[in-house]
Amino acid sequence: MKKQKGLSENFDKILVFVVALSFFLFFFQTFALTGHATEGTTVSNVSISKYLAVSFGANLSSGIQFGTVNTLPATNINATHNYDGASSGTTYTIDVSTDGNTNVDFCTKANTGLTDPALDVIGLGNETYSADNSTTVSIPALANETSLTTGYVKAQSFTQPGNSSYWRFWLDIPAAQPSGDYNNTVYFKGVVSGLSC
Amino acid sequence: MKKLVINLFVFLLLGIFVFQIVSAGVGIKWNQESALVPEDSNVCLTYGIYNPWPTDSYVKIQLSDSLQPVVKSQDVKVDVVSKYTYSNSSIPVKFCFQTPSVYTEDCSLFGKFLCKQDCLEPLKVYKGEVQVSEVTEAQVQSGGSGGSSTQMSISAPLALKVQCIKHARNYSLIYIIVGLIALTILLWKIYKKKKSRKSKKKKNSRKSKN
Repeated sequence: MKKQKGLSENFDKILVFVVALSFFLFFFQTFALTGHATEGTTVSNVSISKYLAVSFGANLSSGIQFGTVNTLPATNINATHNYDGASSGTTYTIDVSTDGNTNVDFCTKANTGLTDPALDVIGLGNETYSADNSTTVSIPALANETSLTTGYVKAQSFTQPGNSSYWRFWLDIPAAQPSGDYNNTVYFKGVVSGLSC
Repeated sequence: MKKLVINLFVFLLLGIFVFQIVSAGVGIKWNQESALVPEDSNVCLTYGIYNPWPTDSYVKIQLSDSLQPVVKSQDVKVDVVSKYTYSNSSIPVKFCFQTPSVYTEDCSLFGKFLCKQDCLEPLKVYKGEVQVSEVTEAQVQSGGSGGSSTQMSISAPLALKVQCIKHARNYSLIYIIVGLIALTILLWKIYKKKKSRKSKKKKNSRKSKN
């Protein structure tokens, strides 16, 4: 009888030990302890910041207009401000602020082809652009024209702070295009030079 | 008086002209293009918005689609950036990201318990950009065949690298189950002991009454 009681008491002690050990292991695993380094260290720190700001020139902020077209088909219709700057340069500009420390590349896209209220569309392949870091009567060149797309495409690279990016736009209208007022939206995005759109 | 009116008229015209030719712009400043974040944790990054141009600008700040799955919050919504807000006084905008658990653990029980992480998968990176764009699209002026309205934006790159944290197999479930079983048996035994003592006491008291 005494032996049985002793066994039972030992079993109870083991149970208490198992409970304590289990909870200790549980907390140890859940909130694992970490050691402390004993070596001395000092911090070396550098912070690099980049900043850039861009703005449309006056004419580009008013949109890109191609005027009234009376004869179809029409090819390479000039946007209204393609040649109205000094020395017949373009006045479609995007300006990079002097308050910046990064060269800027420009990407462009359009939401859709030029569309009239009746949903007739002048295909996006007919609206083209050319861009450059300077402008003359022949720069940006028609020879370098590129069609707009619905995804961003790198259009012009390496415009430095304080300088401008110069743009020209052209439009082709097929012979069978119904008359109407056609509109769309063209997006411009400035990114750090060398990065993708 | 006549001179004053003419001067005022000229001044007004000049004002209108200047207002028309000056476009609002957008600027962004950032200190970090990538962040190494442990999985299932939080990180916040701050960007500065500025406008060094002479017109107030209305801007919208957003993250590219590729970063949307890991965005938790954006604490400031900037609408107007005042003119002549230069980069050294840019408006801070804080984005907070909650990185998901992206690395598969090796689990022994129901694919959920007793797990270990050996970090054998390659580092997972969420690449995208923070975009600041002007809200109002430039309106196309009337001109026959219409044309294209224009919208400007700028972007800063961002790469969130999700760090895998190595750990040995987690036996805490077993520990807690064993502990609970042992505790239950212990409590049951204590309860049984108390019960038997009470019944003994009752028996003794009955005997003494008799």
